[in-house]
Amino acid sequence: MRTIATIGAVLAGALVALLPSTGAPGPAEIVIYSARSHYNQEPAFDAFTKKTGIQVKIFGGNAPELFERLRAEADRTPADVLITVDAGYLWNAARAGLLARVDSPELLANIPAHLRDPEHRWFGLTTRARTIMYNTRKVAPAELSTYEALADPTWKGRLCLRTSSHVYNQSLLATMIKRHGESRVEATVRGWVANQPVLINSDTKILEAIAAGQCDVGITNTYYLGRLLAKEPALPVAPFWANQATTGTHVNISGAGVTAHAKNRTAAIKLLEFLSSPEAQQMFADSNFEYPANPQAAVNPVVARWGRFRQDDVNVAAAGEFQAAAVRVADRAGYK
Amino acid sequence: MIRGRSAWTAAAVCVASVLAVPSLAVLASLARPAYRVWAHLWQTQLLEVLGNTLALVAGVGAGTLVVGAGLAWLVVTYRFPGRAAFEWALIVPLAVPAYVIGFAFLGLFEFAGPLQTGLRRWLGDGVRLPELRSYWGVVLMMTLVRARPWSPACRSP
Repeated sequence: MRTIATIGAVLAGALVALLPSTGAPGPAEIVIYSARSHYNQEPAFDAFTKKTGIQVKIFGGNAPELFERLRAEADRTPADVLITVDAGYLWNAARAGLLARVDSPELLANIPAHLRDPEHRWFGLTTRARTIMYNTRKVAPAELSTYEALADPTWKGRLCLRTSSHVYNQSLLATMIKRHGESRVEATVRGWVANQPVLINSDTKILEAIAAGQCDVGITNTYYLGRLLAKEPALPVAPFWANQATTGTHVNISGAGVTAHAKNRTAAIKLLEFLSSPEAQQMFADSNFEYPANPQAAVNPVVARWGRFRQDDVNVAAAGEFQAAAVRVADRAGYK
Repeated sequence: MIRGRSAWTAAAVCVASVLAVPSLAVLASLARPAYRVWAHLWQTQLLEVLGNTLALVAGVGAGTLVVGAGLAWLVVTYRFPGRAAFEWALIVPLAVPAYVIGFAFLGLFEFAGPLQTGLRRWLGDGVRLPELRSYWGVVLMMTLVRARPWSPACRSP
């Protein structure tokens, strides 16, 4: 009698497990590997759950860790979605076959072409502008123009740069290489190095160094300034939109793709579509001072004060394609 | 008795081999060297990085020898008020990961940190402390984290 009950229970369990693949109502949970997890519980995910009833389970880690984990788990991965910061990591994941193509008209319409994979395997969710920051008491905006112009000797001893080992500057150099080729970019980097920059491996600390007067200018992502200004509105640091008369200001993304072995592909696509909608984009923009990837969403008021700017519209995939070249250029130019 | 011991040995070997997996994975990658990467590193920064490493070994070695051995010797051979407290307090830095202390040091003593900001406000804008992101800064940091008073108290808890 007991045996029969056990067998019955097992069968029932097996049936339940089979249900999602037999076209029954969608699954109640999708799993995300997210390199944005240090931004805590982001409101956009809560809004998705509220709207669809689909639970979102997030596993954190940095991009290289999540990449290795996905690759090691292969078709047994519980992950449906991979979210990383920096397009280079998404490019790598796509190249390793870890992300699946998603031909969603909604995603293609919501996210501008240069902020997503030309082969539709990943999509930008937030845009991060990396531009020139200056001390408003020591520098007039008229003195500034391009990233390349920071190689001019007038900036000797006045420059703070992030170390070249960090992916943000590698991506900046990578897109510059895509535009201008290695030798021109190497000449620029040699000029930066000749100006004896203070090397600091933290965007926030670079901004603090500029505010304190250790250096006059630097290059950082703008949302770090947004966070500092939210705490201390009088901070004498402002962004200058680099390269407006030439290539446009360098942007990168944090973005997402559906994994190649997603168990809940339909729900995962639904999540990405929701995250690209103006409603969710607004939440991303407000919670971390980033720029929404979807141009229909408005920016945070703190960010709006910096004015509009022209983005470099080279596809952010260049951050992956030319990352190795960027590292080599930095090494050759002596940029640590 | 012997059976008990070999069971312990077997268990220890099991645990040790699990712990060794990451190191072995790194070593295994040497079997397939990325020649182009090594050639690039050789041409650009390998020698400098090796030089830095040796210089740090020398500097931090000397520093920990003086500070670590010196403090241990003082605590073990002399009687002074608070000796018992020092005996365990000197081990405390070991419990803090080196990078945490590194961050704390940078945060406190760098140009934009509270100490130098205060000094500039007090003594004028020209005041500078030596740059912490430098050879001597790193030697000082690593010495303070690694200086391990090698006293009998540390060996037998």
